[in-house]
Amino acid sequence: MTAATISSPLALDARGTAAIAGHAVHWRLGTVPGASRADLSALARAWLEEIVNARDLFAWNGLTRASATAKPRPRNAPDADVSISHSSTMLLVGACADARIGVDIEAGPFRAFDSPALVRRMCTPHESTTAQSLDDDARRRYLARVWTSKEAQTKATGTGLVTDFRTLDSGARPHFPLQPFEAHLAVADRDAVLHAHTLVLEDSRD
Amino acid sequence: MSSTEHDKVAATEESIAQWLMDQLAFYEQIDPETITPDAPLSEMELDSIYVLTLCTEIEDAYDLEVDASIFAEHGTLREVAAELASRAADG
Repeated sequence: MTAATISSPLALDARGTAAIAGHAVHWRLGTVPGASRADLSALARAWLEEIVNARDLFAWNGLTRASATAKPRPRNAPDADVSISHSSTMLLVGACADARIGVDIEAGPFRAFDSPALVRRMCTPHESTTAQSLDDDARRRYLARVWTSKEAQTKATGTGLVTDFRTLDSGARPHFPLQPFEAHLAVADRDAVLHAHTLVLEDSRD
Repeated sequence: MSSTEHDKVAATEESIAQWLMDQLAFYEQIDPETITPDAPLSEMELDSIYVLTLCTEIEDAYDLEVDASIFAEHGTLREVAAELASRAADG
């Protein structure tokens, strides 16, 4: 199935623009019931094309990869960037005309973060201490917040998992609106300084 | 099964490949029928969460330092297992 044949309505469909370090990051988030990874990949490209064209961000010529493991980037638009993340049936995309960006989303219930091995590998000492102070549900959500911040940041730099997450500050705080996901947008500015932005939907704010 | 249930496990290419497959099956993120020693890793679409989890579990089980690039630099679990077995032998 391709994006063109996805007929089920989106269970969640939100979009917006975040101003991060002086750069406008345009995003769209949705839940596509029954979608496969291939469906979500195709839909992500369609959403990005729509965002880029609707906002006239840059000339859309599709996406290209520098290598098999590199993230897809806009073809013939060297100042622009896009980012794609999906988790379960949730999809998040972002586009920016003038900065390197990353987006990342994790759908609940975040059980992957019950792994002590993962927690040891992904947390700074401060984040580990914070996680240990929380009850089970709050700890999972906090760790998902930590993870999506770091994933978004390293997608923005293009370094991905080569970065040692134990030395990267997520900036995450253990204060949670009720939403079925944790997600971040991130910008790497011209000085390679990273800026992470927690994505919170308006109707989830407490 | 998790790595915490293992003491240091036998470090042959075959045993490591089987251990890697067991770990991936435990995560329940991939159709177990697609997890074979020679399946292309690029087609498994390993989620980065589980890549990092697996790296740490490899370190715990085999007393080796491993980073996520090992899964980008090798095409299959068998190749990853061969690399790990080589490192363990050099140990």
